[in-house]
Amino acid sequence: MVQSNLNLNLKHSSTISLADVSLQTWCVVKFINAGIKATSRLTGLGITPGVRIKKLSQAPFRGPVQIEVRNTRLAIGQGLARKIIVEIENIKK
Amino acid sequence: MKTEKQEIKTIRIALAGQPNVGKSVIFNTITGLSQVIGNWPGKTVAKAEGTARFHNYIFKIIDLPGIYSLSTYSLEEIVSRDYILNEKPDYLINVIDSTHLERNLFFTLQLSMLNVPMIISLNQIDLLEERGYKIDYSKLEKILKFPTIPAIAVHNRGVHEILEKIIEIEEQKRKNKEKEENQDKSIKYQENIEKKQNRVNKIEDLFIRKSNKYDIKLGKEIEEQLIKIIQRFPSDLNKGNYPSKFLALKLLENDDESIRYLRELNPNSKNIIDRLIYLVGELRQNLEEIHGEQITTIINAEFYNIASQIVENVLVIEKRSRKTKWSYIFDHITLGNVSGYIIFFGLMLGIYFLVFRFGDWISGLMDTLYEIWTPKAENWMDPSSWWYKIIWIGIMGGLFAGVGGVLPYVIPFFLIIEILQDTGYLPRAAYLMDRFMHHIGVHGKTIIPILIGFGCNVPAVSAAMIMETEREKKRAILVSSMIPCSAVTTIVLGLVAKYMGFLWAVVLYIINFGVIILIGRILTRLDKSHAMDSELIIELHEFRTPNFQVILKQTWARSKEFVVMALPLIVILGIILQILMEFNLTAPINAVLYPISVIILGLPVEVGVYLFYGVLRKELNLVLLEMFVASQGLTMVQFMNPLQMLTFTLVTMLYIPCLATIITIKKETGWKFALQVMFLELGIALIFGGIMHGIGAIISILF
Repeated sequence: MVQSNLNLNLKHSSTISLADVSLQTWCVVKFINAGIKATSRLTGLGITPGVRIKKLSQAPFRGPVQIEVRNTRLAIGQGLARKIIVEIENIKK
Repeated sequence: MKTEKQEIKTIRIALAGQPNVGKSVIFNTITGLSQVIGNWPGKTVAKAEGTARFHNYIFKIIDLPGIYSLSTYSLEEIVSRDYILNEKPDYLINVIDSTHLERNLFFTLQLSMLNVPMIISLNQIDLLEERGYKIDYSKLEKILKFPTIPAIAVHNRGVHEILEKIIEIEEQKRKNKEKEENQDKSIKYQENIEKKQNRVNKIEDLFIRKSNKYDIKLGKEIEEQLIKIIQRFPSDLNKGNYPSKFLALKLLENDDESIRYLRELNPNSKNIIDRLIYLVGELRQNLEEIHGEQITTIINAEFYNIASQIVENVLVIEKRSRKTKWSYIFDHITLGNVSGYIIFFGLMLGIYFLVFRFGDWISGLMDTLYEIWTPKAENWMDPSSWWYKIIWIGIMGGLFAGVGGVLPYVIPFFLIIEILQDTGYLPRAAYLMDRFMHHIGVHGKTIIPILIGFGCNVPAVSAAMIMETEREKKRAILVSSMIPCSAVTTIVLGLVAKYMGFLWAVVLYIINFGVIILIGRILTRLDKSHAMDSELIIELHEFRTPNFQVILKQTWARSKEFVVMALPLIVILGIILQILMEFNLTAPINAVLYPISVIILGLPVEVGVYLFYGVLRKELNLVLLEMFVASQGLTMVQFMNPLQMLTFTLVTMLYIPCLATIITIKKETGWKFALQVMFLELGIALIFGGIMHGIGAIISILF
């Protein structure tokens, strides 16, 4: 019982929005919380649930983020990056 | 049959692929100069067509717009899909960037569902090898079942092989036709074998043979739903040009375009369609509940899943992947939080400095040439005759003004923009400027038409078409049509900077940008509902050494368009102006414009008609005014006071974009929006010109 709670907490705390991920960190996309259109465009460019992505840079004043996904690089506006929920990859891996 | 060898066969092929895969290079290589660049009928999407003759075949080639997928969220995607489905090209050439294999295959898999014979051009294999990878071509071909041809298009390798492959297939087809009977049996036999093979679940069995076509096998879960949907198609359903499976997939995806198409085709069976859509909706809901994702996410993930499996099977690591050092450094500093902006603004300033120095130099040469030739012309024709005025001052003067005053600025500018585009710098500018662009209600991509707008608003308006939605396109058009173009800059430099000092020129630019920001903010306030739509999604591809052949070709195409549109206009106007002067018709026009020119703006009454000419081409304002002032035996300083110069220039900067721009806006969006832009900008110019006149007047009273 206690253990399952702990797991749940851990899982909860490790999912954050792409905008909040620190630079050069690999993470796994959990889900995309955007509208149909934006979601379709993002998944069409390869940002599908389960894919590994790395945040490469972040433009100043809450500008867009630069990510690497499936061997390509994309710039995604801050507002949209907030809607991409990711889980930070286990460092041990 | 007649003498078969000489018979010429026409084959229609379409080039499809994602952006930046080298599609245009292949198109240019195949078609050479026989290209027609235009727009898709009724659409704001560029269309490039060309022909090529190869052996006994004539190839009619169409270059479809670069798109990432076959959804219908952008006009480019709709145009491409409609073309492939409705026009049914004989062959589809899918150009793939092998350095981004996975994402490109995602599109290839979608294209494969359209049931058009396809040939894959695996481009940029040299770049892939540079990075230490290799693709097992024969294995890829085995999996995809489409002929796959490796290519380095920029070095003209693997391009004509595509045509040769098509001819080979055509010849084979013709031979097969002759022994059609026998073939039939063998196909059946083959099918039997392949049915047995289907049980073996290997990546090689991704495509299974169905009658004489290959069919992609998606994941079990989705495949089952698709079969269910196809089974529920009413027997008399008119599917138009959609293959069953593709239609089923699109219905499952709830794709508006496909549903609309289906309803249009079956006008008399509304209830049946409604019922079908309802049933599909249930299946969709079921899937979405199981996965907890939107349907497009499930389907796109499925395609990516297959694509990544293929990549795993065909991509071979040769040596440790290492980026070339230079491109890595470039990459880092052009996107850096400090260095990125320094480079961006440095680059912009450098470009303008360069372009204007070069422009001034050529422009000066042209002026000298005109002055040298004037006495010679006067020897030929009587300077006081009307035909001297029309031919030498009107036509030749106009030509010299156009060739000397505009082209030396516009052509180098186009060249530089093309270089920036080809190297892959522009998306970086979009990344850097995104935050700022949000202040005027657009996202970072708008920086691309804006940058082009500094050279000329005409290509800028066309470039605004890279925006995704109608609203973004219109906003980008409005903003870029207010950017001071090179013609405006010649006025600012030639009048204000020349007679009043460079600082005042800077003041005018600041006012201009201030107005753009203000208008952007007001419009964003007005349609808040859409403000959330605008988010940047752009690919940042690696830096490339520019391909000068492609750059020169593009620059030439753009400049040609400009010359064809602008030069005749300048010449005709020059003639009209001379006629007006000859018959003393300028005075009545000036009288009509009096309330605007004198009362609101406080300019000399004679300026009126020149303001009107600036609508046709902005630099004519100054060019023709200078001609007039000189003919009165005055200098500019005697003719206008500093305040009038400022007001005159500001109004020219802000008011109605020039005729060529308006025509382009009309071409891209229609008359309604073109007129809206015209009147909005005219209003803005009068308001701010009036304010400037007012402030100036108050200051002059106070001091």
